[in-house]
Amino acid sequence: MTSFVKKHRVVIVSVLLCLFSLYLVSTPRSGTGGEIIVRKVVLFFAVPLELSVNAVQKTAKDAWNGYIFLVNVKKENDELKNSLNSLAEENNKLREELALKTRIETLEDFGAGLRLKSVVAGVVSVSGLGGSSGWTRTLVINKGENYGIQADMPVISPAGVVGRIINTGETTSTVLLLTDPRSNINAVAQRTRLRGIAEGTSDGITLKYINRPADIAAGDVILTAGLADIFPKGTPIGTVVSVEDSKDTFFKDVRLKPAADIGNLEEVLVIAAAPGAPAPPEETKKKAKLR
Amino acid sequence: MRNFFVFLPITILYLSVRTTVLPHLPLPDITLLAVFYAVTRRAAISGAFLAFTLGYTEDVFLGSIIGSASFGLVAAFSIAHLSARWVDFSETFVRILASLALSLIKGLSVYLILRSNGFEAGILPVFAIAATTAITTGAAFSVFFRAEKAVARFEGRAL
Repeated sequence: MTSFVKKHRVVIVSVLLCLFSLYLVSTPRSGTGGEIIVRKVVLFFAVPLELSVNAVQKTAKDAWNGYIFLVNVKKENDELKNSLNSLAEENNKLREELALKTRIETLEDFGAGLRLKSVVAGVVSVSGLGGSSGWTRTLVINKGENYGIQADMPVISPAGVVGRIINTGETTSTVLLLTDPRSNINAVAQRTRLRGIAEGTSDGITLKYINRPADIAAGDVILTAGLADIFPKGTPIGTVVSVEDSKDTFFKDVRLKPAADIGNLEEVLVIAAAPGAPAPPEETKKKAKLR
Repeated sequence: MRNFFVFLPITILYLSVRTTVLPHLPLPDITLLAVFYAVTRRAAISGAFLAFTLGYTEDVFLGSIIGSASFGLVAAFSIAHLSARWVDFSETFVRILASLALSLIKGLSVYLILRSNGFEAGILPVFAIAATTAITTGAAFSVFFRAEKAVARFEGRAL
């Protein structure tokens, strides 16, 4: 018996271990006390090791993603940034073109509504808006004699009067803004039909020659009277912002806010002439040149 | 006892990698190769206990049913041990075939245990693991031999 066991001890031990393994398999998951202890011991060593392997793996992965892989990513990122900048620039241009088209269409519609021959012109430069660059208030537009523009032609925007042409070149023209002290426009109050002269001042527009008893108040809209055959009748000049009795004269000191947003004009409409109207008189042309 | 010093750390390292870095690949069954190597080194009862210990460790690491891998490894050890009387495992080709067969025995026994316990285990991984185990037999044996030699040197004994 002893010799049999000794001879086949490996097989016997193996069979016993197999049976013990099957016993472990058949026991509930919670296992026996011994199993739990052994398992805990194994896990005690296993978990830190697995965590270490995971940490090494994560470090290697981070190094790859953060450095090696980023060599190409940086190149790709630069290309994408360039592409994005180009697209942003193109998008901006398209937006500008769309806005320009919309504004021109608005002006053209406005001009068509006036039933007057008109030319849409872009603003090239503006001078004197801040008050520090001299006392003139003018702007230069990109249309000149090649478009039939002549001196004293009125310049308006959909919001109202902008000014009038004082000088023309082949391809550009100078516009005297209604806020320039040299500008005088026959005006009429929309509500009371009071007449006066809208004159440019250093800080805006004044409505002159309004008698003290006259009915005018802040908020009244002032329109062109159409007496000098320059500006179309009824074009807004501005809105009354303050009314005071003048200390020196018998008139009221009426201040206007221009109807057109002079500081932000980008396109204007030059009224060439009423349909079938004669060309501006020669005298007016000379006057404009003298100015 | 030296077997434990050599194979237990290798097994734990292998299982750590298998469960973390490469959980989806059919890596070679290093625990089985370790047990088979122990057989070729004429390990007797210590080999049986080594098989049980490595199997148990594998079950704990892999979260499998405790006892399934240990049963498969002890069974594989027993068969290899008995076969060693008639088969010469020193031949490389024989080792590869034996690894393939033992891996299939272990894999199928674990598969049957899992299925009998209601687990939806697939059988294809068994063949994939058996194939990779067979292919890497030579390299694994070489590593085991070097590791065993290093431990023997540490113990101050010749292998």
